Amino acid sequence: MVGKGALYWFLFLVLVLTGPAYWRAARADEGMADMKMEAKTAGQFLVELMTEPTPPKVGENVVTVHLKDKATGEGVAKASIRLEAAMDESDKSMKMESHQGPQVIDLIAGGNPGDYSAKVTFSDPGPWKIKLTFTASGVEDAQTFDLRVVKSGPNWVIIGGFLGAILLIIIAAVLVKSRSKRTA
Amino acid sequence: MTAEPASSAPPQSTREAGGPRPFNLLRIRPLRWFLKSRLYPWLFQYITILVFSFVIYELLVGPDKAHDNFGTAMTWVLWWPLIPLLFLALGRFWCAICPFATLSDLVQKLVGLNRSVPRFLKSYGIWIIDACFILITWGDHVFGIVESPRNSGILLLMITLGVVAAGAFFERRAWCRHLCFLGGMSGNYARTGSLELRATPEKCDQCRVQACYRGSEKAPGCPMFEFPKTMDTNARCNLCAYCIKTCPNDSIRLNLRVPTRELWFIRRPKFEESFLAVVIMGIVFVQNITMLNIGKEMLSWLAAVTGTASHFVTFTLLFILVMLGPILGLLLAGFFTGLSNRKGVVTNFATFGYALIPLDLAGHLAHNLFHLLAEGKAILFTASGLFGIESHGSPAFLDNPTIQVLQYILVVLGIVGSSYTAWRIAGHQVGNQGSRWGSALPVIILIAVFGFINFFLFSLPMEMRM
Repeated sequence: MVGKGALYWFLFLVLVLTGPAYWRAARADEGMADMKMEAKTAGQFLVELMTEPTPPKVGENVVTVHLKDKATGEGVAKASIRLEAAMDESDKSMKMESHQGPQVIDLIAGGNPGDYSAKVTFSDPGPWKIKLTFTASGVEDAQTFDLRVVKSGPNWVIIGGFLGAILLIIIAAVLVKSRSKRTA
Repeated sequence: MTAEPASSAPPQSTREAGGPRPFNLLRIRPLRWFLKSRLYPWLFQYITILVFSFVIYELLVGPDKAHDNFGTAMTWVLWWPLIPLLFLALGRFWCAICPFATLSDLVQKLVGLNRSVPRFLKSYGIWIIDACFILITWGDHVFGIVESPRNSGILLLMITLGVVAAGAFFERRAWCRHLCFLGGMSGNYARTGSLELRATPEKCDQCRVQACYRGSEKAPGCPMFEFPKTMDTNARCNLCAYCIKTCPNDSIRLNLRVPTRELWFIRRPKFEESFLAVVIMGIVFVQNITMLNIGKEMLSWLAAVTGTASHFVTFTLLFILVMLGPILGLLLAGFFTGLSNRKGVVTNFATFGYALIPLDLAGHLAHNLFHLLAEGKAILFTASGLFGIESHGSPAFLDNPTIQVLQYILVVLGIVGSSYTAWRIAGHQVGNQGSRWGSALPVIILIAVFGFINFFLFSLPMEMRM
């Protein structure tokens, strides 16, 4: 019976420790279902944007752009790409006082033709607009992507949810077991 | 634990009639003592549950970049590449010491209702495993599981939830036997294992206690619902050694055997098990393709054809196409085999699907060999990171050309193993109907095609996980 008592204490501790964090973080990870890779067309180009980590987090992230020729599907080498990252001011839920001016970064060509990347620092969680201005084969074009930046750190909603579900299963089993014992 | 053994049919050993009895490892006294003692498997279980607890903590709470996360390195660079090797060497030994199995036992001991496993799970569990395997692989590429410590942690939490539910409500290791997707894969791979646990029929015939199934004061009954007397496959034996402890007649043997030998004597083929073998072949292709430039080119082509640039849509299409390839290939081979042995396509699919298992294992091993040898030092780097020591440098143990040669060798071994298995299955299953070559050749050609695809994919430069 010592084992049973230990389990109950463990479950109680889990509840106490994760409960407050669960509620505090409830709104922090709304953007968890964001895309892994987003792609848009711009003129004769196909522009794919990826972030590492995905979804992008507050702090330093690697943004990678694959620039391809829409007709051939091949990567476009020797392009120059400028990235402007700024918080989306049209979103009313964002904290207006927390945003900074746009970051302007020139992307660096990667190992494969059409791959360009740069480190981008997102200062706050929430919606961000990434504007890419690129010049390739003498043509200049631009495209804008929407990103939702989430807070860094553990996702307590998910962790708490799973622990809660495990707790419910155990409680259900205990209840059914005690009822079976009573009726036996 | 009152259910009766599933069958009392005579055991079917992989030993050919009249052949020499294989070497019984239990004749080695220290090993026998260890397996009979309480130390086994608990010693390993305690170690794995401690490591697992830390890994899951790291995945959920540690650094959120895969590159820096010790849990990611341990799970996807060390454990996942090594596990098929373990299946080949020791069958489902991992399942005996798996932390999820230990958790299931613990929950069962504390609050378990020990109800019988529903008939639905017994009948369709393997299909659920097939579906989970496909879904997890698809989810990995759409949502990012391997490359995201958090998502890897969530996957482990989802499995934990299933394990706790199965342990709380059902008897024995219902999760491991009927629902674990890794268990399904390990069941298939363990058939190639070089170790088998079997009973001695002459001794079992005299037995009236059936302690191996029912349990005794020495150990519980078989957690995998198996009855060693009739067990003719490694697929559902996890080498927990409970039957070695409980058997009053010392009937249990731990035999060494030639790897893949069990597959040569498949007598009751099941469509769903063959389907899993083909699914694993598709999964190995998907995993390879998505880490190569060719995969990106295929996605771009699909984007151009469908007119959508959504990764969700294009990857799903690519996934379906790649997964369908091996299935259609085996159906086609089954059709041509049917021209010789006069059996239906479905029957031949179920029978010869087992022949793909050695190549499955070889492809899986070869793919993960890259991660282990090209990124293996990431385990050391991330481990030192736990103590605040930053380590830099190449994570590779070996250079890429050397790894590629090892991959080619594995694929060749896989092709040989699969082709020989197809040949042996043809001999056993065809009997006097049709010619053996007529039955085996379409499957051997298919195996060669799959082998060639593997060669081609391994010849291309692969992306790293970490």
